[in-house]
Amino acid sequence: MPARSRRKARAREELKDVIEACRAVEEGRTDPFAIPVEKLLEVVRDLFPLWEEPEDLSLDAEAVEAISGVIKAQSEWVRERSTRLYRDPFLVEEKLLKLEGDELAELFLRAWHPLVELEQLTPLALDTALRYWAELPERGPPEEAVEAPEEAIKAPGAEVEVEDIQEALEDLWRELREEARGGSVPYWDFITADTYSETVRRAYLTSFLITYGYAILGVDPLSEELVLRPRRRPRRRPREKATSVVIEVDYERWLRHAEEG
Amino acid sequence: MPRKGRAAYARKVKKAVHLLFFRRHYKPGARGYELKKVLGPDYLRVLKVLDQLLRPLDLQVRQVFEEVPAPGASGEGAEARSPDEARYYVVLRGTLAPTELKYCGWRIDDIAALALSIALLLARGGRAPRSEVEEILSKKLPGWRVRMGIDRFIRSGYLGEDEAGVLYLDWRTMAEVDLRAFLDLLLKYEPVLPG
Repeated sequence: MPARSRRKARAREELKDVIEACRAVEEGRTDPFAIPVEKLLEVVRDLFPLWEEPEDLSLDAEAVEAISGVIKAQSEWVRERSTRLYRDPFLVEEKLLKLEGDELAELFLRAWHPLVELEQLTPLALDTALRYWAELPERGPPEEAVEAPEEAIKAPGAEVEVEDIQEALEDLWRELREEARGGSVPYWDFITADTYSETVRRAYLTSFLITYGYAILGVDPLSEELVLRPRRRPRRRPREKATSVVIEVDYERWLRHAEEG
Repeated sequence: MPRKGRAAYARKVKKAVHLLFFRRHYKPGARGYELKKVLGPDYLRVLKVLDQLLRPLDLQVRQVFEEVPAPGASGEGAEARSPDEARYYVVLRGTLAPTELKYCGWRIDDIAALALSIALLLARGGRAPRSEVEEILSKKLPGWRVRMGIDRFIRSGYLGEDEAGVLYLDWRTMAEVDLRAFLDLLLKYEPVLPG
């Protein structure tokens, strides 16, 4: 490996370390003032002349953004201490550990004013429900179970081995990262392929990318389009709040996108 | 106030009751601009009248600015913001006695865990990794109860958890808990020593 490439690889690692350190502040794992902001900015500035590729420039921008996050955290820290709600964390934690559960609960009850809310059917809701029910089309007699013909199941590409799925996911994730270049890609642009069946396959695999934490599905605030943002590392947190989103990949929409593309 | 005006206010107060008591969205209560749309530009006066009517029932109308608490943000600078941006709830004016907790489906242990989590997050500037909160709670409660408790607080809207597993105070805490009073009570409290 030529010396310049080695230097670049080292520099990339340095930038990643800077981002990691700044993210720790954002996540509340590190005191914002433990980060030497000026020194980090100097590092980023010194490395900047090395960058030529868009990926590197994007990493550079990510580092600057992460450092600005630390500055924001520092300003919040200062603001927090100037507000009436600030109390010495050490004192609070010490007090918390000394208190028995019932004592703590009693103190809390003196500052707790629970919300009053009612969840019940109203005549209006009943009326709406009745109208909805009346307008529902009848389903007719139950249909006999229809088995899909074996040929359809065995169509080329329809059977996917478990290990193939993992490989396909990794490939798609790589593709997404390349397309996103540190940012995001419109969902429909990403899944749309030359054929409808391939588009459905990509949509199916993309849903796994999101569920397994390889990518985040969001909404672009300006265009209000669904966008995919790849993660640098897959993250799976079973306890985090998850939301299911149903996206219909219908033929007409695919045709429209394929023609636009 | 002329009779016609009084009747109009009475109608508006009824509408305000419908909007504030019945849950129509994910969160209870109503936003300022929603109330303005239904009750008119004098909706704050209508809420004031409703608040007076609720007083004998030990209830009150509460205005909450929904910004998720950057540390110390609660109440600070709220005066400068438009009341239309706030959310309005009906809350208990007074407080509950420990014996009344069972009517609300809370055990004293749950309340202690919630109090500890909120105080801890306040002490840490509004955010703390879930693992650290769990670790401190585990000193007082069994592990399974800690995890279940935090999940319940998140579901109810007292706490929020972001993708990185960091907990923060969520909308219900801001609506229901007088954070300043809670911290003051906590710091002033002197446990009674045995003997």
